[in-house]
Amino acid sequence: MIQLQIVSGLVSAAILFLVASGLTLIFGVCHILNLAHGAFFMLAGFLAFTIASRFADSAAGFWLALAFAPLALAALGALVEVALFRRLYRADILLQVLPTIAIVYLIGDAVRFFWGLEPLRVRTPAGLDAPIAIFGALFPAYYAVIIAVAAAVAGGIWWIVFRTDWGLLIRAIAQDRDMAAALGADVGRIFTSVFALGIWLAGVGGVLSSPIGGANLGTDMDIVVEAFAVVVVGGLGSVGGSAVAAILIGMLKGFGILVYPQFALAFVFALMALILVVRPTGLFGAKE
Amino acid sequence: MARHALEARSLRRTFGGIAAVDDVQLAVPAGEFRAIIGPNGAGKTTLFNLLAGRIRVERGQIFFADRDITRLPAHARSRIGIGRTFQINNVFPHATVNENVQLALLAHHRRSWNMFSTADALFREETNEVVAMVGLDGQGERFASEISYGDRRRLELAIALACRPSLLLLDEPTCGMSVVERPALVELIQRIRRQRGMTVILIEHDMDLVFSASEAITVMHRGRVIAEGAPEAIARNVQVQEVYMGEGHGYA
Amino acid sequence: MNDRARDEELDRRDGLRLTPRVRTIALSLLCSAVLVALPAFAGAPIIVGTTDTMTLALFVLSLNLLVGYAGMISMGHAAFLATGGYVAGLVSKYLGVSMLVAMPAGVLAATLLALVIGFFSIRVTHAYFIMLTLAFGQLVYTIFWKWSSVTGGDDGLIGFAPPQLLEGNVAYYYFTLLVVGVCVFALYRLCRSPFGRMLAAIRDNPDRATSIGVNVRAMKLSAFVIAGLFAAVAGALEAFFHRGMFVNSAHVITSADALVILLLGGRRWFAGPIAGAILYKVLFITIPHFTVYWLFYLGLVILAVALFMPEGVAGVGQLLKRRLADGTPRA
Repeated sequence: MIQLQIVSGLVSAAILFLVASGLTLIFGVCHILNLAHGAFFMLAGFLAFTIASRFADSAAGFWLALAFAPLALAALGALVEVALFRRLYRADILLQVLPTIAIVYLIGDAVRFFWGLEPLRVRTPAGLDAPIAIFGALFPAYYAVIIAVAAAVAGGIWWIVFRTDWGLLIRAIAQDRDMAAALGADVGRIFTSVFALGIWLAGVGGVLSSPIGGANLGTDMDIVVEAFAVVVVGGLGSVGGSAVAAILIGMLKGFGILVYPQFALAFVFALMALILVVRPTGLFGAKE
Repeated sequence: MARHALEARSLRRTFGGIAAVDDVQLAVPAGEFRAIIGPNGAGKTTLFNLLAGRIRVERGQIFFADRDITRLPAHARSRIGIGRTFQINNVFPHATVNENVQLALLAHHRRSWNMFSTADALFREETNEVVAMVGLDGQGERFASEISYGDRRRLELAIALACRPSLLLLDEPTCGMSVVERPALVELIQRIRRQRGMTVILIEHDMDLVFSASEAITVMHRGRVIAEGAPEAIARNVQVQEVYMGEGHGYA
Repeated sequence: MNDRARDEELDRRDGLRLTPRVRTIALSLLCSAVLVALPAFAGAPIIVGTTDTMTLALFVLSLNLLVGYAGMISMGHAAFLATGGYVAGLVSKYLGVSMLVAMPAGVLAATLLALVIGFFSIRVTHAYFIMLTLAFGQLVYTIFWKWSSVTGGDDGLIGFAPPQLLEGNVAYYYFTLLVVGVCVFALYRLCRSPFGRMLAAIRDNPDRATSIGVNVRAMKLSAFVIAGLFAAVAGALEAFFHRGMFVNSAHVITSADALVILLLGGRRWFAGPIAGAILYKVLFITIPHFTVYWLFYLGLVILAVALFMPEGVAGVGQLLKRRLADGTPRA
């Protein structure tokens, strides 16, 4: 019976990691707390619904959604970064936060406009709703897919950040943007690309989670709060920290549901509060 | 009457495995003008941060006039008479010179929590006194961010002095000032010290000032105290010379 | 700094310094006079709208203590508004006590909540603080929402009302005016006190504040709790006015809207939240006349203001003042 908790915990962890890693990357490099991150996540779910239903909810439709929706959102993110955040990098934090709030509102109403107010169901891609056995308990094969994709993405990010020139620039700019600029790095271009990458990650998370949670209004805030918990526990700016924290929190949610189904989130908050008292910058965060 | 204004015993503090301050002993008699010198990275500012309470002591103890303050939080140390200036200018940029000093006075007179009076009119006289003491009279209404760098160093000093410290920790007070401005600042510090009977410990890189003004010198290197004594003795100390000139690799 | 920059700095700080000027006093008296006389010549909708605007202004003024003075951007302030309202309503409904007992109870509950949330939140700064307050705020929202057996959940909490004397719109309007007026005055005095100065100093340079003997953490916590207290007053006033309390009062959007109002009015100005609240109310009433998508347009307004007029109404005021002054020759 415990396998149920473990696997569903891992699935939560996978989704949380995708969302939180994007958030933490954007903050670590661009120093923007993207409150709209959840809105992009939510939008991805709705896009997945539309794309999948165009293809009669077939497996192909879903994969197309997974391939296309995050990219479309990344492009949108890049546009937002260039048109908006580019101008606000030197502004104080309130002036950086409020535009992200504005984007939450804009995306929220756009979703209402295009998709209405009712929650929408996204079908698990055909073929993957068949149960498979993991440690003796039965789960939809789709769960394994989510975990696999998240793991692959995690590996991809690690490779990008530590093995490519792009990653080197990212790390340099995250450490000291002015110095990097003085040395010739095109800070603007990196900011845009990292922002786009972050949004892409949120998009992947959104598409992957839509068969499980459906496409709902209100997801934007729900997921952002959970992502914040992950980022706070893991440490802002640390992708590795997000991974560890995502697993911790995913598991906590999974087991919390056993104890207190209505309110498993309470355990997550308790953990967050505890970490903050002991290590205010998170497990792997940089000391301020 | 305590023998020493400040005493540090076996102080140790590491950062990521490296001992920034390692087994440091320090005993400064009341009223002395003590300089702490040493090449960059010697641990001087870390020592100050430990003394002022800005970072926590890993091992060792700190005594202020025979009172163990090792665990005392930073803001409480200021209350009991330890004042401090910073190497990198640390004033309240969005306040005027007068307001900067007034803030320190408000804190000193335990009025920080007063929620009912109007702050404006408080301690006008005392503010003017302190401002005049550091030679900034006339600049009172100017914003801290718009006065000259040298004047900001003086303001830094004024803020520390407003709290009527008996021990003053000065971290490179002349840092960044032009050579001609420096002696005046040191003169000022000396004058106030004699007036108020303060103990002064200062970190300095300007050797002329150090040797002409201080009564005793402590030399640090790589987190440890390698020499201590009167200026003449330190000037002749071979070890100190080596540390400053390098180990003499091929520069004979 | 040249003359122009110096003037700008003075202007910017004028609001924050709040030196007692004849202008300020005259303006306050004028506004008070208008507000007192309002019911004589305005219809019910305006009276109701003004009552709501006053409680909104109080809510945002309390937030500005944190944002504008202490430099702490809280995205969970609605939690205290809601707690004040809900507890006041609950106490009145289930214990049958009058509003005059229920309101203080609500305020007390919210103040205690602020103490708890504040204790954890003030240990961190900037981005972490925003995230933490947002998370705690949503936690409170979820509690009010899910605990429907007690709070009524989605349907809201109803079944309580102000005492007979204050049942009418006009009567409650004056009651609100009185309570809000007292609170505004208290906040004004607070901001100009040494405590207020210290908060600004902590925002300016927390390190320096510590080194002159200020217990930064204790001060921040106090500011947080005081802000929560006044937010709760606003919440309790609102609850009894509408004879109901609904979950959206605790939602992060309410907290976010408060920040938006600060942007609109200008947070470096004591009266900024008041101007912002009025502006917000105007938008809130007019935009839905031609579209259902009010948040979308609010979003556009936020972007426009953030990009082009970040000091809000206060900024517009400074601009005008300087344009008018440009004609006069400098001494």
